Amino acid sequence: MSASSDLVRLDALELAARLRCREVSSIEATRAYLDRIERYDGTIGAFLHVRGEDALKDAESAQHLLDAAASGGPEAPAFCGVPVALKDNLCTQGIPTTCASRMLEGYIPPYDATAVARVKASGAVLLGKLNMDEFAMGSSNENSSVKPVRNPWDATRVPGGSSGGSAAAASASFAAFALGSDTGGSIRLPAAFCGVVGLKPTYGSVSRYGLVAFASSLDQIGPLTRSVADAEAVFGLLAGRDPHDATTVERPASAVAAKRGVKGLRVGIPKEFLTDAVQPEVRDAVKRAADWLSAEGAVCVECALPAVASWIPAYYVVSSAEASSNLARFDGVRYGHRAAEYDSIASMYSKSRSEGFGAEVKRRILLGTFVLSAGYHDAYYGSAQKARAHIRAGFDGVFRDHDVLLSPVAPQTAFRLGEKSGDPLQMYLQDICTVGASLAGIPALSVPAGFDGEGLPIGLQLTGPAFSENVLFDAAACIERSAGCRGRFPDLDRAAAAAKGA
Amino acid sequence: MEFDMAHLARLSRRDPHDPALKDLSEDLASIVGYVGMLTAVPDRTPEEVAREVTVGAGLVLLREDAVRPSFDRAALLAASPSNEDGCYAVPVAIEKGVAK
Repeated sequence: MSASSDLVRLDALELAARLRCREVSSIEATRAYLDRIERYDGTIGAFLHVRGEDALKDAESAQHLLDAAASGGPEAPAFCGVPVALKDNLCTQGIPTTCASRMLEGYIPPYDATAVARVKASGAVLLGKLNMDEFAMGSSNENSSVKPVRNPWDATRVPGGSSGGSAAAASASFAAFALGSDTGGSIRLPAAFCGVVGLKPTYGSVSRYGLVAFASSLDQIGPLTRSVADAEAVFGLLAGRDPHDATTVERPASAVAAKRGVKGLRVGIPKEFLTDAVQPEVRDAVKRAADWLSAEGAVCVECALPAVASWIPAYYVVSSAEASSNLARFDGVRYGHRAAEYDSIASMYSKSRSEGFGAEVKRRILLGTFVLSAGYHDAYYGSAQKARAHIRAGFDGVFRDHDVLLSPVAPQTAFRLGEKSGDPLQMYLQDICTVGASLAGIPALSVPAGFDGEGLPIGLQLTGPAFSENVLFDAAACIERSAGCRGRFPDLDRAAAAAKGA
Repeated sequence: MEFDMAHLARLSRRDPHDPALKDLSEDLASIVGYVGMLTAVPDRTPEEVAREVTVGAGLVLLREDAVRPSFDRAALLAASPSNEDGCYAVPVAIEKGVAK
């Protein structure tokens, strides 16, 4: 392999193959990624913690396994020696895990999340932990208490959130792949804004053990990658039953079926997401993708999704209610920030929480507290649960006639830093296309499908019934083949110059 | 809609005198106004809701009820803001001689 800039741009599966045949070493690959992070992450802000020498030591260990396998020893695991990075809400034993919050500054978990353990078992080398919206609450990554993340394609724009660091890291070739978490679109939205593939799996596919909880009935961990094949491979290693998460199940046999392509696939295109409120280039991308799918034998028709108007209200009520309960544990006693001055245990709690949480987290805790409070519970939380049941039933009805839904991920491409941060409601509306799948617990994937007139990536969403990830991968692969986005990478020197000029 | 922000702050273990609550009150009014459209959702029985709100596989599987190693006590205490004698250290909650 020649230049390190070529090495870091390889897809994870391609790099894994070259490592196995020892065309390149894990140490060489890890050093190439660390050099790139050192050179460019001052502009992008994707990492909160870089492991540096520790990553190189892990690369050495991985290389021993690869060398042993090449000498006739045991086969090396799937991603042996491949450098990867993780969102900072995944617990990593001995490595800081802060959720980009002052509340968890300095927290070092005593255990690995199951997803982290599975990535480690695959032989991957952990480069570090990635920036995010504080406690995964946000759609632009401007809510990090440390620093915002910038979009590698245009550093004056947001990368999307909350897994903005993960998407930016995959897009900027700071890691072969990244893991993120998705509660209402937090993998799919940044994947779309940064031009990478992002999967929110079926609820129950991937263990949430060790994922710092935001909204437990919605949270799922998933991959952000530079190819559909990588997303499928990483999902394959993450998915499966975990005794530590009672909601996890083994994937049904039908969900791991062999490739079947898109011939005969019934693709529905919800007309609710093709209105004038959507950027024309994004609408055009949906129509182009439908043509590509049709050319390979899919049958694409417009369809109607019921109850779309209730998606955002139901999501923000349910997720904020669950967040207000989950974040009650941060009281300054067992871990996290504790106020320096207080005069009673009650004031220690309130001062620690007031100092430790940022504005958006406080906003959602208050909203969640309000919708669960006496006198308002039935009108808000109860109604949101009823709406959720209607939304789920609506999807069930649509999937009787369609195998997969094709839509935008967001109404527009990446917006400018600061453009929407002053109006929380406008920011929440970014999730209009994504929260439905979250409320229904069904899988949805974002795949790059072209660029707008300003050179910003356009991502399209594929949504299917529970455990239909294999169908989503087939459809996404068709779009990937036709869109010609693979092999196009952001110019980070230009991004650095734009960031300086901003 | 008017909110009793001090009450909500106390419920969520926040400082009721935090000046930031004023701005949050305005945000809350805007958001609650928007999510208020949920009250138009048709009613369903609790059983229907319980059945339909299950997500993903909709199954809850329990792990084997067996003894297994737990976390290292020292590692857990090391993550705390302060600890003493193998316990989490917190302010005095009940003071001697102040009973009324």
